[in-house]
Amino acid sequence: MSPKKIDFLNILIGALALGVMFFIYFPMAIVVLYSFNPETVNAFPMRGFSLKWYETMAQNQSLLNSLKISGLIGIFGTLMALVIGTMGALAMNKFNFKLKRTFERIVLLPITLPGILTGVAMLSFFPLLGISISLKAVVIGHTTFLICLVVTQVYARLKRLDPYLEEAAADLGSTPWQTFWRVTLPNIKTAMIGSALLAFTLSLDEIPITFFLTAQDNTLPIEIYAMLRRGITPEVNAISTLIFVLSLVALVLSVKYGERETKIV
Amino acid sequence: MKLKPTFYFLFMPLALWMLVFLVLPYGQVFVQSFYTVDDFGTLQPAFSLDSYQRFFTKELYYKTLFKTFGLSLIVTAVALLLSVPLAYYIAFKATSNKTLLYTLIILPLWVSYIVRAYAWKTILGSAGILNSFLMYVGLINSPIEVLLYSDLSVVIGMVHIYTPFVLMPIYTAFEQIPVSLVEASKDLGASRLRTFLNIVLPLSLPGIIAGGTFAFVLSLGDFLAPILLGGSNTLFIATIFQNMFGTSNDKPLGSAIGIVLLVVVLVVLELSARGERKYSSLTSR
Amino acid sequence: MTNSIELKNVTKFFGPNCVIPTLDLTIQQGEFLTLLGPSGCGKTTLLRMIAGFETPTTGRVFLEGDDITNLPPYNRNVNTVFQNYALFPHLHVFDNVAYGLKQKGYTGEKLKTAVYDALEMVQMADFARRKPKELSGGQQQRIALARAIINKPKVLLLDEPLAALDLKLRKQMQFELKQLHQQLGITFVFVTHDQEEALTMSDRIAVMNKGVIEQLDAPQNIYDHPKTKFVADFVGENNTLSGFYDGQTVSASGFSIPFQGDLQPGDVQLFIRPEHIYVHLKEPEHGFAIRSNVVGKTFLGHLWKIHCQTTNNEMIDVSVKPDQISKIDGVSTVFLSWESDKMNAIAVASGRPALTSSKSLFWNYNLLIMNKLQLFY
Repeated sequence: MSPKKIDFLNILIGALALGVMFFIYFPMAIVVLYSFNPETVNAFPMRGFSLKWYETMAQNQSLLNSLKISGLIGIFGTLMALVIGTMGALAMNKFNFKLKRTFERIVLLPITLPGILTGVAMLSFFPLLGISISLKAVVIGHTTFLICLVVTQVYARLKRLDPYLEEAAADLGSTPWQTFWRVTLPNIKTAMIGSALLAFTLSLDEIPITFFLTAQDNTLPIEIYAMLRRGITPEVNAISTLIFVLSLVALVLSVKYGERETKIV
Repeated sequence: MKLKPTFYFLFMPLALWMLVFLVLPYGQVFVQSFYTVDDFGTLQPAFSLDSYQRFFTKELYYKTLFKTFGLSLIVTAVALLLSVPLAYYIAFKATSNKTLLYTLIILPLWVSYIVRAYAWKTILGSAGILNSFLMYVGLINSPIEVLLYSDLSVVIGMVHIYTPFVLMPIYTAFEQIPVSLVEASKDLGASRLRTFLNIVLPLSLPGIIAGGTFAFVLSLGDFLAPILLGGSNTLFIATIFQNMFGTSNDKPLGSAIGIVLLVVVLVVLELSARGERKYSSLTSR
Repeated sequence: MTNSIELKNVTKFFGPNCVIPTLDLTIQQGEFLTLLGPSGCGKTTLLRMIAGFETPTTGRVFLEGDDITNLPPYNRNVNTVFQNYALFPHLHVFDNVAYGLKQKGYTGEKLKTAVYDALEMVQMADFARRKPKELSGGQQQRIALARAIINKPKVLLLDEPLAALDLKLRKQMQFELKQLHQQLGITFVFVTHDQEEALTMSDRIAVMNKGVIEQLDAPQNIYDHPKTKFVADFVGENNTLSGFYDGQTVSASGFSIPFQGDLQPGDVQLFIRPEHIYVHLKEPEHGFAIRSNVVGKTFLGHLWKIHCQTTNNEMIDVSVKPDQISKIDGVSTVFLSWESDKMNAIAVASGRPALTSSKSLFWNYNLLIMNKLQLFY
């Protein structure tokens, strides 16, 4: 236990790290704290504690409606993306075809390109397909960018899978169909659950695409956005805190099931 | 190949979906960028470079592009500067509660974008928390107005929103560096600072490039933070782009801006992918 | 001879786990010392404490008389050849080898000459512009060596440097390392779990088990006169028999043999190597012999191994040359004997002298408490 010199470099790094953590979490802490603010103005110091804004929130019909819409879009989009994406990932893993690399890149476009581009592109093209600007369009838009999450995550898991597993199953007498259900699917199950959770959360948070494709029905973030344009209402603190808590739950679940190496965002 | 039917069954839904709902819409934007509009704002199919010409000659447009570029670069640089020490600390210094810290840095990614932008609005507003705090402790007498609705507030908000995106790849890159390389460097007489500059930094360059690209591309395409946090002077290219399909109703010009933005983003992505490949001495082993 | 490295009362805990109970070790100037032991025996931890990657929980480390216990690795004139070489993947061979000297401020022609000299020494001068991943395992190994020796360290530490190479290459590198050692004249501390490697290369071997040096001796002595059961089992092959020592003779399952040794009378364990045992088809007229049944045999290439069972149900393995094996064909009973001085005996119930073990137990207990307390400061 020899005395050590004070290590300034270590202290500096620690202090910087702490500072950045503070920067990241301070705004969120403020939002959570002020959701219990009894007053209308978010000012320092906070005078008292109340659940008033949670009550206001619970009575805001359009907010509740938007929550329902967001939930429905998230569920439909995620399910469709899960089916189409998993099938596609299986195909891409098992077969080689021309332009496979190009295709891999195209699938990634909706998350690599700014969402606003995708949103506007869909806005100008969907009417030509006879799809009016409506919730139907929003679901299609969401599915499109959620597919790429599912494909990348499931595809990554499939690639890591021992290619001899399926051969072993076949060797032991499984038909391709049985092999899929008994060998492949159980092994990609967690990647599917993880990507579904991620997809659902991102769908709940999606703004740029929804912004252009929705008519009068607002999703939750768009509704909040609209509220903000009208001016600051502390109600948003309450709904934000709620979203924050839900995100936390979703995160814990997805860390549990997710594909760590390929976690996209 | 015998299994072709299986392939088509599995692959066609995905391929068709991507073609119809992604590739064709983008194609439409491309085609539309060459159209013209008549005096009533109706689209006229044509092959004209008029929109592009207007974009590159009107000061407001190309200057906004440059400004967007500049502010995005600032956001990227600040986010990188913030991410490196924190990622370094978690990767190399933290021992017992690494998982917790890791979870803490990815958690903000899951917190709604709109909530984070809103948080800064409440903090930076003229009657906001920062101003009222400063007045409460007596540092200032009247609110500082430039805090919100300025370039500064947009940059602060974007840095906050995009730093977690930068943190993740950098942290992963640090984690992948074998401890033995760091030890070898010290063994050969390099101090910790030199070890960081000579070994850790070059080896984590792919992660740093990836993180920087995230921040840069996301900032380039962001139109909400400028609307929510920016003032009337803080125009981002994405805001103008969005206007062209809304109030201004000039779809060809909007499409042209979209294509320019698309090209810029694709070029940045390509450069970044090349950079990542060039410096990925660890993974390509 | 002066002392190169000296470890005094060194202990190492990782949290509450004791990796090294009190240990002393003196390494002489210019010697080739090998730390030999199974994985997890603390040999690598010991090496890392000399290199400066670990700080001993208690005790001091000296390099040529100077206390270096708390010196960071970059301020120690000691270099390491890492197990997986740890070559910097983003740097060329030249820059890898130049790394240490660059830290000391070498540049230009002076640096270049030194690097090429070092590369020359390991016959790798033609590879200066390659990246590590473009080299084979053996070539990477040589670069790792060059990168370390170019700094002219007082001690070169080698952490299982040959473990990843195939057998042939390993043999060749063993030879080259030994040559390099003679050429450089610096102290080598070599870590390995391969007893053959240790026996071939070392001036002295420290056989380690559970953080304790069981025996520190020249290879020949380690092999011929193991001091503990662990050493007898770990280095080479040994047959173990239980017996009793009355002060003059050792007796066991149907034989007794005069024995001279530094041993208290009492229950003992006897060790005898397979190659030191004679096989007789008939009971010899002089001396002792153990009657045994042949229960099997195994072909090893250069030898046959005969597995025998004594009347006391103890197993004894015997090495037999291939040209002799036909004589044993179909034989079920043989008589085994050996020369008294080829046999080693150890008192039962003490792998080490009893005094040391009780003292270190006391010490460990104290250290554990100190270690716990440290958490509160």
